[in-house]
Amino acid sequence: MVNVAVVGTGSCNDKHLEAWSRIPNVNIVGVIDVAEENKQQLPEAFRSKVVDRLADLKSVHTDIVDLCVPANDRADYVRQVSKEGYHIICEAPLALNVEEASSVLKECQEKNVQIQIGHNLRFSPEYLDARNQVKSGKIGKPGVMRLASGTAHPGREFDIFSNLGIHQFDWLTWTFGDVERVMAKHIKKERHDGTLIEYALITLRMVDQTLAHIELSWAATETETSFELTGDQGMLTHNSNESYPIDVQLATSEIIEESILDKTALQRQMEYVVKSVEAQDKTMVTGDDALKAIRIAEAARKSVEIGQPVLLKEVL
Amino acid sequence: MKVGIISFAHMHALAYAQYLVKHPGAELAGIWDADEQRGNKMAKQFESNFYVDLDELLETDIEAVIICSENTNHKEHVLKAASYKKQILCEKPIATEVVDATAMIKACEENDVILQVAYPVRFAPAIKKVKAIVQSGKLGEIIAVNATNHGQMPGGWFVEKELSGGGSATDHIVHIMDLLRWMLKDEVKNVYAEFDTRFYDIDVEDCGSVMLELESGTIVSIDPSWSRPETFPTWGDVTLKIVGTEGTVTVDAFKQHSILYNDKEGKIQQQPWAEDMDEALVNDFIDCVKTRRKPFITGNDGLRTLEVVKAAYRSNELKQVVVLERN
Repeated sequence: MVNVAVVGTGSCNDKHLEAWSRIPNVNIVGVIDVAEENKQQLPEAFRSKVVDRLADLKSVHTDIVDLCVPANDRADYVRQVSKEGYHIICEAPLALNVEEASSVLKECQEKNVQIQIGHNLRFSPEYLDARNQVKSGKIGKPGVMRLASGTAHPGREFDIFSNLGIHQFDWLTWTFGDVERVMAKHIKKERHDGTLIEYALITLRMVDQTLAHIELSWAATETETSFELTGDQGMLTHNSNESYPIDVQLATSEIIEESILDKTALQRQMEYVVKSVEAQDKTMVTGDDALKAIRIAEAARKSVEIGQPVLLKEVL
Repeated sequence: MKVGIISFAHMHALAYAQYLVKHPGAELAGIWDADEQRGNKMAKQFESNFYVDLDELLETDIEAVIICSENTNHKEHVLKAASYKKQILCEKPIATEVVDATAMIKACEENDVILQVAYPVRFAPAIKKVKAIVQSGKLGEIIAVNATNHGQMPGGWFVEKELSGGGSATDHIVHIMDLLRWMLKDEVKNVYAEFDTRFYDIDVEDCGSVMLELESGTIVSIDPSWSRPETFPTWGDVTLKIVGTEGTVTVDAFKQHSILYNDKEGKIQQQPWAEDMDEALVNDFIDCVKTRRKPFITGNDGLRTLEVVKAAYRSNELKQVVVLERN
């Protein structure tokens, strides 16, 4: 059995608890920092597991702490948890800049704590398959990669490059290697009703000279992801909206929104972490990989600021 | 109204010839082509007359010409046709150098003849609809555009720089740029571009990514790559995603098609059924000449779009953003 504690509040927490409880050899030993108003909504099985503080976990054996906390607080929580010696799973990005992320990773290493950062495209079947197709030479020599990710604006406190872009950046470096140069443009505006929209366009030149074009949209009304990977021997395309296998039209406005997967990317990632903790294996997303994606996000912000392309090696 | 076609080097000439012949008020009266064999063949196919000597064609009573020669020959042919006071529809790009384009515009002004540049995509029904949506103000302030004009690699003179002036960037950027200038009534402030030759063993670029900022602050990216595989079900695409503060519109200009699963040729093919934009372009040109009205796609539109292409090439060399200079 692997014992897991979940830290965080709200819907992210619920989704994580549900995914953990689907994994057979996982035992939820604690749910921490649940806001009072959310406690009553917790599924019955977890209500008795609520503890107030991280320190309260000491009375039960804990292997993994799942951090469902906002990006701004993430680094602090990782530091706290790593001090206790628990392995960590958290969302990407680990931190908002390279400096902070490096320091946190160093602390984890010193405490011999494994950390899995949620670059979830690595666990999303369509992106994992796409990487395998590219790696096995199906499209030939890579030419131009077009990726897009869009959803509704999550709120003022989020950064589009760090929160939305990070997954695309990670998948690209995981699949095509390091980035040489970054050019980015970004616009943030208010709608008439005062809500925010944000939109960014990024061109990456990889070290192997592959071109990548990324569209990040927080101006969308529904979540949509797509890729078009071209090479000198073929092209692989995907669009989340065009590959949704079910269309329900009811008189009422009920909509099916969840992904049509027996196992979500989140659950796959959790299973991976459980396996690597059991095997005391090093995790799939290494700290270096996480830093690469954060560095690209930083370069993109810098490019927007100066209005010119930025060489990645010039970013810290 | 008698019309001549100067060269069938560009394959669009075939469509233009077909619609000239179809038009009840027009007649394809003569054809000149540097390639005599091709010229003769086309004259036979469209029941027209082939002229070995271009001056001889221009000395006839044709009122107008459609020029579909190789890009670098547009200048010579436009200047010559203008000197004979013929009304002109010129295949895009208008020219391969900015100075050539300005000389062509000047010559047509001096000779008081129409110089219309062939940007047929403006006539695609889906594009006209999107322009109306954008200009209705429904989308609010336009903040960004993500556009593609992809194609299969055309080969032939298109990949010989001395005839084409450049590869996919020369071939494709202008279509999107023309649509954006037309829809948004905006001009380009600065350009960043990365080009490369990654798909074919050719001497011109076959792919790239272009980023622009318009004078209004709207950000734009254009993918002009010849990245469609040989198995792609059609020649390419024109797509735009236009993001406004109050909404987003996406258009795939040639999505009005059926899919033919063709066992005979071992291919899956798009069969377009939309109203044909080339026909609308030819009809508009004929109407311009007949009614003596100013064309709504002008030589200046050709020049402005060419300036963006040239700035993009400079940016690619410098790996820096280039501020646009308008002539």
